[in-house]
Amino acid sequence: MKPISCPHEASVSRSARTGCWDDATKAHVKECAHCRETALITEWLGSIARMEQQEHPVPEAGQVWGYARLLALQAAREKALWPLAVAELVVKVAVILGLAAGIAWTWSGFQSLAASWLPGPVQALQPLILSLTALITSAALLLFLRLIGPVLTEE
Amino acid sequence: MLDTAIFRPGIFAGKASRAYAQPVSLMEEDAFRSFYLEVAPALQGYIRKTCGNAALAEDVFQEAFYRFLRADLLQRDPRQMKAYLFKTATSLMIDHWRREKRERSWKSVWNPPTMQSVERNEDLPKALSELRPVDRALLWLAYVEGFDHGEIASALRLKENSIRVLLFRARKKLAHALGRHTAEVGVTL
Repeated sequence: MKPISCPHEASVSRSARTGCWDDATKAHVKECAHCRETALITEWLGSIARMEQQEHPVPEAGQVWGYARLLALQAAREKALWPLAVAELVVKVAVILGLAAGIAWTWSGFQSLAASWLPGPVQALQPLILSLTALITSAALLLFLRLIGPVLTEE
Repeated sequence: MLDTAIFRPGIFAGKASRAYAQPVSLMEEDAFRSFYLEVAPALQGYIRKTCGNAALAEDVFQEAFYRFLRADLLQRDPRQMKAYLFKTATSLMIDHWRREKRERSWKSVWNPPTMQSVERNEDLPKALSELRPVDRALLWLAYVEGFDHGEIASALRLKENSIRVLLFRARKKLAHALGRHTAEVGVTL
């Protein structure tokens, strides 16, 4: 039965990897089954590694460098734009809350205005029409913010 | 293929990359170039033969170098820099396997696993493909890269004391697999 390891394993593996065998290591490999196996495995894996390097050349160093720079720039940009993203969110929430508060505040005024403007049969739809008006106004404001967002970012 | 692949956001381009988003200057390009030429072929071979998945290998390779550049380690000992790269690549692969295992276990609740859902190993020699990825990594780091047990343990997030036994078991499995594929690979153990 082969032993679990051998003190010469590292030097045998190094010799098999580099192809430089000294006499003592060579003699030891003849005696030790574990080290014979080590040498064969190292040579076999080494041949696979060499084949791999021939078949799949690595990308150009400049490409990897460029990719890393690109990622670094993206990360820096994200970091720089972080306060602007927070500000945008705050503005959106403020616009929505402001609109909701405004509508609640002037609700009775809206009702009387709608009662005088809308014809009789449409009166029943009054809450729906008011809600739709508020929704369209909010959507228009959010669209406006979205449109000017890129301009602010550029600035 | 590499031209297009190199600039597409890899699977690690999200959270992991952002974790390194502090403004650290990248190392000098010339110094990087010489280090890259020395280490990149070995690293690529290790990743490709360990994970057995070309697309994943490409992503891991790019992400490992990106993290290395962000860490700004050029002034260190070349062996340390190499160990850092191999450790980073191994960590990325381990994270991927863990995530995949988790997803597979969730998916298997609803759909039984199919041949398509099992990771493909067509890039690997048969004897290697029969081993677990961690066994392939162990053997590669020990016998192709010549890492010592401490370096292997650090790269694979294992205890140094356990490396000797794990390496022995991985060798047995490889010897057994090679024995069955002797005719194909032309090696007798």
